[in-house]
Amino acid sequence: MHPLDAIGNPIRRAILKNLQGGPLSVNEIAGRFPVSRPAISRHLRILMEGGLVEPRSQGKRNCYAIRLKGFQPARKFLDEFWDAALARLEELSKQ
Amino acid sequence: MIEKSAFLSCGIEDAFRLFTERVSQWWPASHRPSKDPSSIISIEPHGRFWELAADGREFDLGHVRQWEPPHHLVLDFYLGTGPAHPTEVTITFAPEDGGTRLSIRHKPLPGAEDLWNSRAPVFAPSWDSIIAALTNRVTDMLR
Repeated sequence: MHPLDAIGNPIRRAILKNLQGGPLSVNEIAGRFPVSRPAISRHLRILMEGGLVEPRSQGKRNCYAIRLKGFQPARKFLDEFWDAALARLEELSKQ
Repeated sequence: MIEKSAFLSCGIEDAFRLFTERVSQWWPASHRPSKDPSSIISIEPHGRFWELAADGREFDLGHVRQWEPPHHLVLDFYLGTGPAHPTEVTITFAPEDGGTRLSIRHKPLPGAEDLWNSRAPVFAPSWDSIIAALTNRVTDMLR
């Protein structure tokens, strides 16, 4: 599942917005939307497959939270890219 | 602006050729839109900058804006922000202590600053302009 497919749905975008306030259980999320609990579970699964949400247990509650690694500025992503690329270039230049 | 440099243990001509002709060897597998570590990545003089996966899929990674071997290269870069909002990479090569100093200056072009700075979903696969526009809206919604 591509992250863009994961956010290409208004309910899933709204779920992400709700999770910005902190982790929530499926029931808590379902209580905020006029859709069934299985439907919410399905949306959460798609968000997880897109790498945007992850399960998080809080005591006995099984919650879902925004996966911060899936959200970062392009700057950070590209910074990591150049670190890896330049290390490899230095290595190759020695051969 | 991202500024980085590396010392390459070869002459400037070889350094330029290593960077432009052996891209597939130095480009991290973790940042390939195809997710295919065996894909072929090409930087063509004055032209296309793209990836070809083993299964035939093609991904535009950017565009060669300036091509001045062996000293200077400017690339429009689509990775991370998409072709609708390119960033710009200036690569310079200079002789140093029996080798070559490779310097990278990477910055957002006008229109890409928000994607560059704000917390947005990171997509390794290349975007098309519609998807990039959608993402801008989603980023706004999530703020």
